[in-house]
Amino acid sequence: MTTAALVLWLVTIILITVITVYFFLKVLNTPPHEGGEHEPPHIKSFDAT
Amino acid sequence: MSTNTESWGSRVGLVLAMAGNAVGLGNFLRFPVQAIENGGGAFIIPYLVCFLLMGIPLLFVEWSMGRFGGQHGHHSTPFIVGSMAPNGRLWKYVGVFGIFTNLAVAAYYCYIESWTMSYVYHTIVGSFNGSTQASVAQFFTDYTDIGVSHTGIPYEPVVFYVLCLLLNTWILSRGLSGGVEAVAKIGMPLLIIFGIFLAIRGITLTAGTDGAVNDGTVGLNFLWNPQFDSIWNAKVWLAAAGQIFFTLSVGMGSIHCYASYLRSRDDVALNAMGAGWTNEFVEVVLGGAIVIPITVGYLGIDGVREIVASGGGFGLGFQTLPYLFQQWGPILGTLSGVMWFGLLFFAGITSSLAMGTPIMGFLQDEFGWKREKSAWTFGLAVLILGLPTVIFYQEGVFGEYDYWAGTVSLVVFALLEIILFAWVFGMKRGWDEINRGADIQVPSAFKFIIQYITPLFLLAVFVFSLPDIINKLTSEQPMAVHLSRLLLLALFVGIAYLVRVAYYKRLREGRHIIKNI
Repeated sequence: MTTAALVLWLVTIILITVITVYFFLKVLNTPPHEGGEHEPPHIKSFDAT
Repeated sequence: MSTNTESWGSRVGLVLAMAGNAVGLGNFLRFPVQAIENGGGAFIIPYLVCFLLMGIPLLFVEWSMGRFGGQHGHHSTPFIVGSMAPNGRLWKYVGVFGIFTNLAVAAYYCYIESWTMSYVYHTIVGSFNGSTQASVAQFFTDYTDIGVSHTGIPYEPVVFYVLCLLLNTWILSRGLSGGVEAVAKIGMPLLIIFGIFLAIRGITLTAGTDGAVNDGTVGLNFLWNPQFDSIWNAKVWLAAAGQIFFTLSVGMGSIHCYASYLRSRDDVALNAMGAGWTNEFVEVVLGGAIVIPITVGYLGIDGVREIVASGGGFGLGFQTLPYLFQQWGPILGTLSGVMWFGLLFFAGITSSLAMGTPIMGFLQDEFGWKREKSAWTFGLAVLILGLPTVIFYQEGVFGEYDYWAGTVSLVVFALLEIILFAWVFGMKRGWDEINRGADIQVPSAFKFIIQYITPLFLLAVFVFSLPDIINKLTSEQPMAVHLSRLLLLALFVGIAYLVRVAYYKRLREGRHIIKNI
């Protein structure tokens, strides 16, 4: 394997793996926010078109 | 009145489902082929630039749009898009793309998915044992010809296609948390485990053992050796942008739909990054270390070039690997075959399920249908639309669906949605949406990128694609291709009509999309 290919491959896979693991661990370790509504289907204040 | 009361069971389930939506067969079959055809290792530079300037911004935008629409009871793009514009009456028709694309892509995508089911079966029962490479390649050609059967079952590809559709529909009918999320929680970890196993096997392949003629590193070198001159070639950038589109499932409408089941204060920024980077890990780290190292290990660089030229990723994945796995002995060969087609199956089903949810959301929201009825309607619609791709695969119908629904529509919808988000909805309000409840600090540079760079980038992709679109339209095609185009056009018009019906139904019932946002 040429040095350029080896360096490019190693740098890329290490960079992507580290970033992926970082974000995924952050997702796992961050508790969800309290409150917040999910879909009030009939919002009264909507303007009639 | 909407019957849609779905929600995600857990945050990790949501991120895995979103990652599963993005991770598809293209991660393993398309990415490596694109890389070797577009500058080898140097391809990663335009690829990552496109991910940064187009992929990540579109992820932020689509997650935010989905959550915004969900707060107002919308779970499909026509009314999500319509709710973000002062004149939603027109914009909702742009959202038709988000239903059309999912239905049309699901139609042929489930067919590929059914191949993986069938190949797992054939690997287990030993259909490839003792075959030559030519006969394994012929197996695939015969398989896609519905008149030929390898199991004695008449119309074998149709049978597997229907089985695959039944499985998808049944899972969808179980709901978001009990169906889609449950599959993602099982399928994604298994996919990654299978991928790591095969990647290690590919990289550590040694010349002289198990019949290999090259080390696995020869294939890695073929894939990663950079031809830096290619960076100045516009075609390479177009290929990189196209790959980012396919791999992230942006411009489809499925991300909007999944995100619409979030609560108003749930994070979108970190979740989008978690799902997006997981997809990149699967594509670049795993997808780049399986197919090419193994095939080059046995067939050499020229052999692989030849297969790619004639059959692309399918040529490597379905027509070559089953033969090569046999060289590893009966136990490891069968295990590797099951893992390979198993990971492709999980990659496929987590994506096809994501294609079903926007259609179900639309039917539930607008026509008050129950979840089960919506799921089975989706299954039936996909069956009707998909059968032409199964029956007339060799006449080019499959490729036609892929081109118009799976390529052109994505770019058009993504371009229009980013204009809507940044310029109609307004960047200030859009930026607030992205940052509301965010568990990470989104770099402020993305505000500028979303407003200026990404739309220009998408415009450039569209403009550079125009010659190909014109060429496609003006070149001579078989009758089956013309009929498939008419079918796709009729589908788009039909969905637009349903959106219009739903809109007036909303007006009659006093359920209006937002006028003055």
